[in-house]
Amino acid sequence: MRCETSFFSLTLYKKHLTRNWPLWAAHLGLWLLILPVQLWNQHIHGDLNSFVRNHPMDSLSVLFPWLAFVAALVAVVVFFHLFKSNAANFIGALPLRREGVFLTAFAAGYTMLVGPLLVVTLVTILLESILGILAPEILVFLAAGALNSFFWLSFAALCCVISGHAVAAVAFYFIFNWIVPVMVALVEGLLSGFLYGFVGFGAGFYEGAAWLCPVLQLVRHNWRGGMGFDDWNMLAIYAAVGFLMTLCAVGLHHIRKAERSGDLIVFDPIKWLFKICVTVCGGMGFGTFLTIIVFDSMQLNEGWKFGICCAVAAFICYMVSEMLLAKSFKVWKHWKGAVISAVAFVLVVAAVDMDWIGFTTRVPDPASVKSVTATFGGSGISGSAGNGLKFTGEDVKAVTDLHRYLVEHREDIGYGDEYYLSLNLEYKLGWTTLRRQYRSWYAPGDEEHRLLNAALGKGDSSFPYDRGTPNHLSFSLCVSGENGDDAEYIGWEINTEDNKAVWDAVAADMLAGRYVLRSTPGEEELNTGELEAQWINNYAIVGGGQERQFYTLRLSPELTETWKTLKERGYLDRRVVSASWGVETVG
Amino acid sequence: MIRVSHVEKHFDSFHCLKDLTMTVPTGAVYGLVGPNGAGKSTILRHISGVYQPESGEVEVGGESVYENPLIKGKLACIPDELFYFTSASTKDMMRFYKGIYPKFDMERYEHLKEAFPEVNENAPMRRLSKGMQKQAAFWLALSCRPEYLLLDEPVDGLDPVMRRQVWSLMLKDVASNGTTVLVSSHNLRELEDVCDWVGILSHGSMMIERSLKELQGNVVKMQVVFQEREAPEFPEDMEILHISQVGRIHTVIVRGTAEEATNRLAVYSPVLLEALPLSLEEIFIYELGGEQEYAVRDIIL
Repeated sequence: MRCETSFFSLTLYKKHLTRNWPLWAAHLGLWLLILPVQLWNQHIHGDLNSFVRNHPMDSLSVLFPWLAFVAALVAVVVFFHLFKSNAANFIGALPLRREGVFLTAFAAGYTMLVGPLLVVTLVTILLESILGILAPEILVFLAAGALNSFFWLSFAALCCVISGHAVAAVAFYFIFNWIVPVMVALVEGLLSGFLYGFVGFGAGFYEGAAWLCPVLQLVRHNWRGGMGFDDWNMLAIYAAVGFLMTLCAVGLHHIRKAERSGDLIVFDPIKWLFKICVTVCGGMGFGTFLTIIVFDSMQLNEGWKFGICCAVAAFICYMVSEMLLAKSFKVWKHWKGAVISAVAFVLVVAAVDMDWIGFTTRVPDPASVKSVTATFGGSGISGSAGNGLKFTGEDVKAVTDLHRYLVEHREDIGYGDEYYLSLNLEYKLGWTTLRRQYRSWYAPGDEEHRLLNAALGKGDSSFPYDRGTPNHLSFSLCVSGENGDDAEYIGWEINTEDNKAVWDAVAADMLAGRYVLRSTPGEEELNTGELEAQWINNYAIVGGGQERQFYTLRLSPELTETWKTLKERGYLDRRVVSASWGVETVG
Repeated sequence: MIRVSHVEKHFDSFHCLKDLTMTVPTGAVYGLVGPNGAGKSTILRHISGVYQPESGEVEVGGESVYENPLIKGKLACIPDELFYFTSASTKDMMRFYKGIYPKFDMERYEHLKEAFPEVNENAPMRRLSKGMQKQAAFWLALSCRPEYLLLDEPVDGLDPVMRRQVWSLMLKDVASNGTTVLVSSHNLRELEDVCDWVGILSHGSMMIERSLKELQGNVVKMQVVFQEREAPEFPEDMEILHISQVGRIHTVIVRGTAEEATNRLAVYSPVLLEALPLSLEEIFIYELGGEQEYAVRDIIL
């Protein structure tokens, strides 16, 4: 029977369903096993109550990626006429409008995705009613599946319309699903490596980017516990995007040329986009790979290595994109585009590496800063000093001075497995926020020390003033060895009666801004003749038990109060006798 | 009537159809001939509504065919590359066509079983030989009761008996229903037997488009034995398409009627002068003989 509507053909619709029955039958079979069959098993072996409520919701984490996969296959089979010239000619010659062909195929595809879910739902409801334990969650499962199917099928249909090649359409579909997080991670990694001070794109950016990876977004989401507004919101947003994609696909399908069936990309403007994307993404990814393989490293100040590798990678990737479009290896006539791509990459890498954009050297004028929050970290910072310190007004200058120092001496930062100092800065500048992050692997020089002391001293120190005098104070002297190699120590316990006085002296030095960092990260590495103070405190913690805190402070000459107190109490005059290295006098 | 007016088409940088104009009268059997790559299949796809011309018009029955389901419902097309659904049999395809084409005639389908006895309608079409697939295609196309039948290399792959059968069926349709047939082929000898109109396509343009009678009447082959061994100088206004010599016998292909050619050659007092009709194949060869890079060359092995 012929349907008189020119936007739908019942004959073609039925044909799609009958000729592709293995696909929807497999989809149906799988979900019959997952839902009603499991329900029956649970009836025999376990607790039905929580099962009927939780299992359909838990299954959503499997359903959504499964639908993503099946939708791609469904789209390829129902839009078969887009991929081969004889099929395109056959469908094109039929007395059907193009919109009718598309909408019929889409309807058939949607039926293949949702129809089995509907059957599974009905079977489950039947089973639940037989078992006397009807629960609405199965309907939630169906509704969520229906919404999500629409999104995935729309996405896949758009990919099929854009491409004239079935394998390419599926490849685009899966690549578009993952390209954003992969590229964000790659770009972030590269910028972190080459832009001194780069701190990442910000939480809002990542959240936005995550939406562009629907599989990840849907799988990571916690669907158990019922569908709230946020859950439906997510599905509705994707379905709305799917609707827009469908409209786009219908329009493109209408103007699509039948003779382009078999081409990788059917529309010329999209061919350009394809070349650009392959060149940029491939150039960056492959360039990174080449840099690591050829030069065995990729670090700040070595941008030229990355630039060379990216240029080579961009050249190759451009030619590959031409090969894919032409479906031929003979594309040497397009060498100019490849050269331009390579040069463009070199320029971009140079711009970043040499800071033509002024990112690295930008230090805000203190007068323009409303506030700055500085977070100090790293093994060089004793304890948890300096976390999230906020500076305003005149105190901002201490931070900008330190910031400027780090920028001007960025060549000296070094690299290693464990950094000595990390500094995260967040400037509030009117409507904008400037974020930077720095790490230093070397022990700071005097000037950096001074700037650090000034900054830390100005902020709300996290030195544990408010936790009382520690139970145990001691200090040690490094008597031999350079920079920790074969370093040997002797230590003095501070007498209990002197605990408070020495502690108060240390606190006074800190409050005065005479804060000093550890000499090197991770180990008690001291230069010969240096004193290091250690204190251990046991604090009662909420819920019972105790917490031990260990602090280590290098007693540089700057800590004048501390030195004075130690001397007054006679700790510096002590003579130590040791069998292994003789006698040393401290003082 | 099928009317193609000033159609242009490019495939990337290749200019496939160049200001192509052709007219297929209603009820005619129109043979579209041309060398490989002339654009025959391309124009057929335009007429069947698969391709959209970049410029110009393609009309069937007075209406533009592109995106016109009503007109397409009157067209049946047998392309050079057949398509059928995977695992579909002739019967499956019949059911499909029945649901799509408004005039599909089930009775005719049953009746045509006798004309195509070797085709197993229940066997998957992909398992049929090329010739049988073509037979099935004819079977289905004729069952659609089309007003316009477009055939691209239709008898390619058919045995001589089946070819005759197919042509016979087609001509019966033309005679009884006034079906307009447009057929492209290289098999000029067969076209000569069935066509009443001929269009010669070359490099995307229509070179000649005439009724067969007119075409055959417009070029004549003269066999001449002159007084002298060598042929004389012919006047420039005498359009000689080809001249060859075997011994003293000259074969001269002249544009014009037999009477005109005879009268003009008679002035040379030939020993022998005879006018012979040209086959369509010879007309095709000699009309295109003047084309650059496309002339019959004597190949010496």
